[in-house]
Amino acid sequence: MNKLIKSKSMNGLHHAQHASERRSSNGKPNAKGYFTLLLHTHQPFAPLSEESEDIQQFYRFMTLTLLPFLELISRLITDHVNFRFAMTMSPILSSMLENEAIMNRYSLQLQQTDETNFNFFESLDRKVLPQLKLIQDLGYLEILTCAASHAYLPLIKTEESLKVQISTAVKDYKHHFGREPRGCWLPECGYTIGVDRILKQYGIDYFVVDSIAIKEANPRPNRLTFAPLMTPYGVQAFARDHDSSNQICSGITGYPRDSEYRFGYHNDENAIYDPPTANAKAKLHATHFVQQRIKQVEFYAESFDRKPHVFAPFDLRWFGERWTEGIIFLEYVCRQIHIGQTSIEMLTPSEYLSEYPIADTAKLKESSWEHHSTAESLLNDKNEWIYKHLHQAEERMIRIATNFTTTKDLTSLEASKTKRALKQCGRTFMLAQSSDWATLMNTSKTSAYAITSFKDLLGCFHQLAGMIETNTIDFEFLQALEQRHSLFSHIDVLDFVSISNYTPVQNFINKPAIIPILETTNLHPNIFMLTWEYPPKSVGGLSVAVRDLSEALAKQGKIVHVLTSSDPGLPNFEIVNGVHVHRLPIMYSYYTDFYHWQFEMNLAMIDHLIAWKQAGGRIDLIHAHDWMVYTAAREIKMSFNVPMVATIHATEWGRNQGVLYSDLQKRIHKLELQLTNEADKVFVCSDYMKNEVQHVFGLNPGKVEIIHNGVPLPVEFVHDLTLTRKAFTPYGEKMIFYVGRLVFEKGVQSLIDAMPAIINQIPNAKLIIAGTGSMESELKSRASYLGNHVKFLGYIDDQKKNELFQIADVCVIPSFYEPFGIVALETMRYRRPLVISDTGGMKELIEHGIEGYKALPGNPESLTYHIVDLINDQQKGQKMAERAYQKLERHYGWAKIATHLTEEYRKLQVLV
Amino acid sequence: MEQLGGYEIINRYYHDLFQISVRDHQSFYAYWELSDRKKTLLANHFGSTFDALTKVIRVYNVTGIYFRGDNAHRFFDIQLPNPCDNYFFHGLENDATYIADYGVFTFERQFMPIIRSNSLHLPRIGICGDGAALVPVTTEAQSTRVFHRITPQHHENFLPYGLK
Repeated sequence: MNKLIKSKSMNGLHHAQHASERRSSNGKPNAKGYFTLLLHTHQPFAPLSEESEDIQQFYRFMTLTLLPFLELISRLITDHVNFRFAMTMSPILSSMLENEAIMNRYSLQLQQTDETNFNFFESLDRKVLPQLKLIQDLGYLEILTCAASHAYLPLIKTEESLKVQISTAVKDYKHHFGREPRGCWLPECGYTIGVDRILKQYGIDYFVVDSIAIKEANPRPNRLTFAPLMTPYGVQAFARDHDSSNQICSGITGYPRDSEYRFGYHNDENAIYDPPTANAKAKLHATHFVQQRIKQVEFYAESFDRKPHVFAPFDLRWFGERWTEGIIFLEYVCRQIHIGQTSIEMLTPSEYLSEYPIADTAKLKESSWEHHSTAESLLNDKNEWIYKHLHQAEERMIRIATNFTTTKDLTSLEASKTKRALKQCGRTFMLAQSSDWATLMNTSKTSAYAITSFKDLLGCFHQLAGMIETNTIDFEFLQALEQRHSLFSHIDVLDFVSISNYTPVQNFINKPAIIPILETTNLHPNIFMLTWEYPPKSVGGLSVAVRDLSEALAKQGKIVHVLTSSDPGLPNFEIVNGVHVHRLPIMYSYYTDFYHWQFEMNLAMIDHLIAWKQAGGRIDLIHAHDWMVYTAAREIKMSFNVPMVATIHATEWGRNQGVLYSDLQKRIHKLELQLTNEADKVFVCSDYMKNEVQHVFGLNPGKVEIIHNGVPLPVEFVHDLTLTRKAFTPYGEKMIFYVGRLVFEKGVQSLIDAMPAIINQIPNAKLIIAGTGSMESELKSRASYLGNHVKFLGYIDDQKKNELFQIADVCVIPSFYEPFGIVALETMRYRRPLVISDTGGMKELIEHGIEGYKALPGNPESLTYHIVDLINDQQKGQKMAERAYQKLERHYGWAKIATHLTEEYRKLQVLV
Repeated sequence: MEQLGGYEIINRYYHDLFQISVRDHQSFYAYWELSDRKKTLLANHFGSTFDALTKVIRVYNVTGIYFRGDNAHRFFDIQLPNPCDNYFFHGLENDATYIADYGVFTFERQFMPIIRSNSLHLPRIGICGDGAALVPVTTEAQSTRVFHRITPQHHENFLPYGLK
């Protein structure tokens, strides 16, 4: 008996006429438009190894919808009807249809309940997929693939994960249907820009969107929703026709609500369901449905340049499960289009595309076919919480897959075991991505079940991912999971591998950029200098001091990194004169005070150093420069147990002459206190500063070490100075030179006050002041009565500075407060007579009357006396300058200083 | 053997997260998490406890610009209740690109951003007006079959799909 039916049904189709032949003999060459009926099928995943409510639901779907639908197709083919369907097949559903155990159990159940269906099912040899393939090959049906686990694509976070949804589906499709899919169904019609880019990569030619995506596309569509649009990535999108779907799916006016139908809306509770009446109604509705399509097509055909195309996708479940007479309705629709009229013709999407391969290009609107055409039903207060977990799982999956590719021997037994576990990990994760969970959470009846399933899927995923990471795979667990989630047999773990070759160290574009750096720096101890500014960014003297020190260390073969804040236009990472400079972008939002900005910088430094360590980099020593980097220095010292040293270039206490008035000053003072106390060693530049920090911060004298600042030697002299002289001292004036910031503590005002007395003795004396600052205008008005004897240059570049130093008769540094006085050292390099203030750390630099003069700070008379003396007795001045230069060479060359610092590092067991 | 069911999800991942996702043309969803390290550092910086700080989300409209931190068209702040780790933002302009910052107010009521989110574009509502520029198919995607990764084009001026 069974055999007989089998031969009747299957073989009958084997010898059936191909659809294209039927179209040429029985088609409608004068049709005014086309109609495509797409039936979407999807089944929420149910654990395949168990008898559960889900499986029962699946059986219902088989009995009420899928099998009658297949029977309908066979019937139409045998009756020589020229019809077309498109249908989607999600990989989850195909894996269930392919599962022999399920199919056998289903058959047993069917045998007892439904003989007609049972006979048909047996005639297919319990194999639905080959039957579908056969019908597709005959050309009556076109099957579309679907995102592998029916994930709502716009809410996926990473491109990798999106890619796997598509690639797995495409491979699965090829396996079942022996060819590449041309179309892809986007779950819930969820589209966002970028989805089409991935579809194109996998050879997909078209997908389906909600009508609003086309209606509101940019630019406006010329043919409304009655022709597909092409996206900028070259994939065509068909619009779901709003009118046809309303006629069936509308909760108020939809056909299935009719009271004659079995599940229709009954006003009268005693109404009797009469199948023949219901079937007659279905036929009537089919006629109406076809008439409406004809009306649509005829209306637009008048103004269109091509045949209008009505694209109507429906959930297949409407035809059987939700609407018993639906299958009869479908049959009548096909038959009526076949004979009753000549205006429309049924087409598959591919047939349409071969007739009209070209489409207008536009950007589609992000949309779905859910409520309001938005993501609302998938992202609301009932289900929003799942996305954080899904996104984290995506990233973990990508991480473990990427790590796997670094395995040395991919052919080894060990690697194949890991690969097997990774595949299962991917499957379980993808099941969690299914849009069903979010949808089911919306209804209180199904919510608890969806939540539990979702948690279990993610739980199993993380369990297995953890095993892979620690290389402790429990094979019993793996096997159990493989049985439970046995689908997506064609998943390729390599599709999960990170596309960008991501590195956690965000200053580097990708892994290949950082690997050579890590390789070279890993051989020796790494010193990290933390400084808020570094050349070319330079506000105070700190920037240059850190650069010169770092470059001197690098010159001696040390691995030196500088972490600093970035500036527009500067590279995020570069190696300058041997120093690895990491410039970190600092997050900001409009204005914040420097004090808070520096904290943001510390956060960036901490993130960067942790990432550096994660990426396999070494951190052997942290060298902090001033209070601005305290937070980062301390955090890294404590986190990685590395020594931390600090250089104090100046103190808040010193800058304010010992009076801390404002809150901010007190906070900065506190940071300095913490920095010096938590550092393993504190470096200062002079005896003066050593006394200051010991006194102010209560430090043990043994903890503070003097490391001089230095200057690069020798300077490059300019040989031809005629032009410079002509420009600045045209009449052979005696030039007094000051360069530096124009702020109160630099004491330029006392130099200006000294000028009248100087001019009194040297009538052709001229003071040249270079630099800018907050006191600039005040100083200018103060010097206004001196006329040509004082000249302000504003900002000058290094070249000009060089030349001016060389033509100066005497250089003056009249500061009130100088922790070190690097400017004095810079001046000494030019071998010019020098007058400095007897203050701070600067006074330690020269010996009075031997290497230059030290004037009393803030005392114009003292300045006058020494300046006049040096101009009048030039020989004496020159001798002093020579002696100063020799001292400079002896103590303040950077090479000397770097060696000294290295010794100090070694005392902290850092083997540099 | 480990169990196949009965799992619970821990709600924290112990690192910094801030993701925003489109819901519809006028609203988006945000979730975030701050690492314990950052919480402690912030508390230290302000000499306070983390819970006592005013947590804020600042939403920037950055349509068509390369956002640096101070060049948004418009922005607004939402003060968050304690504790709160996700939020639906409603009533936003459509056809606009957004970025959000999670941060705190300083005592001077200056906003200090801590984590910056991804960017997203809320779709336009309504039919496109006249004069919209024509869009070409990108060069890389013009052949019938593409065998490599197509790089995102400029019209994806924000990236719906990040890379990891």
